[in-house]
Amino acid sequence: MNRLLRAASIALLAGAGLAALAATGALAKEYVIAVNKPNNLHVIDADARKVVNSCTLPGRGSPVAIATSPVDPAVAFVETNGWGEVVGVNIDSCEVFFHAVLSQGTVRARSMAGVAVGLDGKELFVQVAETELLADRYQIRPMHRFLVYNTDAGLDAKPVRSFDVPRGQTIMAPSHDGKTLWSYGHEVRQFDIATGKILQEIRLNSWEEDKPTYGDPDGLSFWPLYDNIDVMIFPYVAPVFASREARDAGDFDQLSDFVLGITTVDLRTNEWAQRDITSFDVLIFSMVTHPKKPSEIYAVYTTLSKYDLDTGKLVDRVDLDHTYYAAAISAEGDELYIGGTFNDVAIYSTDTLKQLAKVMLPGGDQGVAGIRVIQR
Amino acid sequence: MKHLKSFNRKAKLLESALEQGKADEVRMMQTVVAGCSSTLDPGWEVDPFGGVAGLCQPMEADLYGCSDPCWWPAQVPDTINTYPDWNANAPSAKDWRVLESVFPSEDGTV
Amino acid sequence: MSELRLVEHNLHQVRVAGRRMMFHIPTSSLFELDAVSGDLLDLFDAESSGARPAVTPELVRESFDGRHAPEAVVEAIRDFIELEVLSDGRARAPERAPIRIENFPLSTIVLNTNTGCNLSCTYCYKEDLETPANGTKMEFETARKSIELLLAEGAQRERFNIVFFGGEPLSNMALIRAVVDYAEARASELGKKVDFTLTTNGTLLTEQVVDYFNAHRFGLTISMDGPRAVHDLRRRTVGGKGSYDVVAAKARMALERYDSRPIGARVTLTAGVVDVVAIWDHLVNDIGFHEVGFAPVTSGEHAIFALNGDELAELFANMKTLGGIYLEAAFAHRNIGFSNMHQLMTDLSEGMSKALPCGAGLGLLAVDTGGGLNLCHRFTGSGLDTFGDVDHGIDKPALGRFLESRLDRSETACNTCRIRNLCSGGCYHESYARYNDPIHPTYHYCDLMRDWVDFGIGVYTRIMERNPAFFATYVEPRRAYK
Repeated sequence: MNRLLRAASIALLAGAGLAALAATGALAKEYVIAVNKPNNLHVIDADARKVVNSCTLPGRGSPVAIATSPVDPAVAFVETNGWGEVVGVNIDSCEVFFHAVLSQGTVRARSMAGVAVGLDGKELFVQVAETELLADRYQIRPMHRFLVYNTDAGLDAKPVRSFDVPRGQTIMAPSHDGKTLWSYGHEVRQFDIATGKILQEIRLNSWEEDKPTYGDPDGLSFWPLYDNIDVMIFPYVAPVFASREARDAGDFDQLSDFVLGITTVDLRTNEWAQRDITSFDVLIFSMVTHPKKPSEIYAVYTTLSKYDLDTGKLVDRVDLDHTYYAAAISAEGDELYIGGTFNDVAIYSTDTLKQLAKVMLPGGDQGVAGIRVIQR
Repeated sequence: MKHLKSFNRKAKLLESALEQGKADEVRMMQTVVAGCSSTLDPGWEVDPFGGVAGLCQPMEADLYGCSDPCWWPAQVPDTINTYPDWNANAPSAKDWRVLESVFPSEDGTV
Repeated sequence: MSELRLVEHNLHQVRVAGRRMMFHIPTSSLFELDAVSGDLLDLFDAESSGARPAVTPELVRESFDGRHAPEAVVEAIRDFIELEVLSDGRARAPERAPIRIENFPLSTIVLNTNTGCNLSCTYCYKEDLETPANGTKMEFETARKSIELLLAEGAQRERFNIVFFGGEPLSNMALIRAVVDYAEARASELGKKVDFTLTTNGTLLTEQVVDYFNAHRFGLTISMDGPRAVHDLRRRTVGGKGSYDVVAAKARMALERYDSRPIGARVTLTAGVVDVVAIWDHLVNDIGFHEVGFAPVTSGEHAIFALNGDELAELFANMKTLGGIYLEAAFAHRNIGFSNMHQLMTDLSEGMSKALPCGAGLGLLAVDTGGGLNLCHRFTGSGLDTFGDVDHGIDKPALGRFLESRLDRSETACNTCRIRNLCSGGCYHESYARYNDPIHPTYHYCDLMRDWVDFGIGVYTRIMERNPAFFATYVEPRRAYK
């Protein structure tokens, strides 16, 4: 449904005294949350195409990751301050109600954009890479950890529990089963949030037996971009060889293709899939599917591309005026929000790939931070 | 130096100095000088296709996206731990001209 | 190409487990030779009569015909000529251009806080030692002037060091605290960093004092000679009682609560005390020190506790045994805390080429309780003349002349010695104690030190072969972290 129609529906239904429904479903307003340097959080009204509120986060800044709450759209948790702290802020009042310093004692901790709120909104999960600062040297902890905080732990929050995870497990999303967490790393893994046990593992780095003619995949997924689709999409690029022998020998003279593919995890069902899309021709940093037409997929970096997943064909492609990293999509699927790198979030039509708006964020670069989309 | 394999830091220094005709400088060295390399290269020499068209456009778009997570630790200062204020004066990478080099202190600590 | 000559004093070859290593003495570079470069150097081996063959182009061609490609041989010759390992007769530059020392960019000042000490270790080299009550304490004003001198002479440095020595420095905590406050304030004003170090006999440590040092990130060294029998042999109270029980307890207490920097033990080896492996084992594995540094006692030749020639030889043999343990641990990526070996590994890994043996006089000066400027802490209160004082500044001409005379190796055996750029004539105080002349090289150690460096080259090469990451972890970042 396009904007005009939606606005008309709201007017009608509001007039019909159904204002109580305004916060749910098709009548909800959509906002994009973005963060940028030095230490800002911005709330963008997607309809109005403008920033309607800005908060200054405490500390030296360079915020990198945003975790929104599945139950409370008014709060956002941001990883910031040298990636060593998480702050929780009310996006309307800008009140900081949560603050966790990840380093404890002589152990220095940094999180690589791994932060997510559990499905019931009560727990905050934070990935950490830790180094022990001994008296005469650094000692790297061999495993990474997910720290678990209570979201109401306040301004001096300490984790209530934690579990070891394989190194490199970073971005995460809560499954709709309320009991597990999916996370991207060298392999994509599903963790039991109570015990930390790995329940499912989707092989990427170690897929050589699953895919005997494929070389190692090159994957980059640094942003949780599953808002409005409830599917995590992890792109990969991989060389495909003429035979297993050629693959094992690394014989690039016998390369048959370089493919672009995706690993997808449906957070509603915990089912996953891994498939090639097409031959690799442009760099891709993130991809998102249409919430209502799951075979339509969009990819962003320096171009914006639309592919048909059924045929693997490129449907359309436009050049962007600069590189963007993170692509998210509206609840209706009519608009694409693209962010990251500089200080703007652009809005594109998924139908025509035309730029509809460019929302400037006060302040500096987003850098490697992504964007989130909420309804309220 | 094809028939002499450098086995310590000074030997490597001497080897490259000889190539540049600067062996005397190395001979005069009484303590090891911390080598200094400065570069404005963002760290990706070429894109996967062997050109530069596939790199971030413009290059500044990628500067903080890549340096913040220490994507090229040897090319820019580490802002996560060691030089947190390196880009404090340039929240926008378009102001890269104010970014300064950092130098190790003479005793190697930072 | 005329006759080639070997410049013998510029290279030293060591065979290590099938590898042929060449230490380039002017630069302290270490190279591995291959078949070509190795065979080329073999041409210069003296025959049994002791005479070196004349290495003419014809001899070279004949020797290598069929063995090595001529281009390879020419390359190797060229490289050796560049390194001044071989000479083709052209004039050579001196190893170091003669320099005048006129500036003294100090990084460190040592303060003798108190000539008094509550122990009476039999071998102590301090000529002016007293009991704490009778000792002379340094006044704060003298310390303040010392710091200002340091900051003025070392103005371009970003970091400066203050070392507290004595007597026993803990017997003047009031001065230490005042100095720390002053130095930290000055450092802050100037945007510099200040480090503090202190060597103590350990008996006066309390939890409060340890926590204070920890808070200010002091580098601490505790003087301890080994297990009880060894330690109590010489480290005694004024009344003659051994100090082991107190020192061991205090050391354990300090080690348990100290986390800002490693704490080391300093061992003085004396007559009959040469079992460094047992001493290291006790201090590191039983007491828990992070590292142990050994020093043979500095004394005149006939002092009752001096190590005689046989004992010195046994000592160095034991150092090599401990070095073997260090090596095995390095393979397993562990550092056993044997400071002497570790320092040698650092010197070899970096390729340190030292014109002077230490920083005394150039980077470091020691201030005695009267404000006089001395070469280092060992000389405070000694018979050697001072080089100025904190009121009038450094006597630069005198200090410059002193250092230049050690720089000039021309009339000494150091001139062609293969470890001249690592040893550089040895410790001035060692020379002063033994020969009554600080300039005199420490000849009594020459053979032992040369052998020790050969051993070090062997250890270094083996570690580089099996676990080069050891250097990245333990040698390169040998400093306190931020």
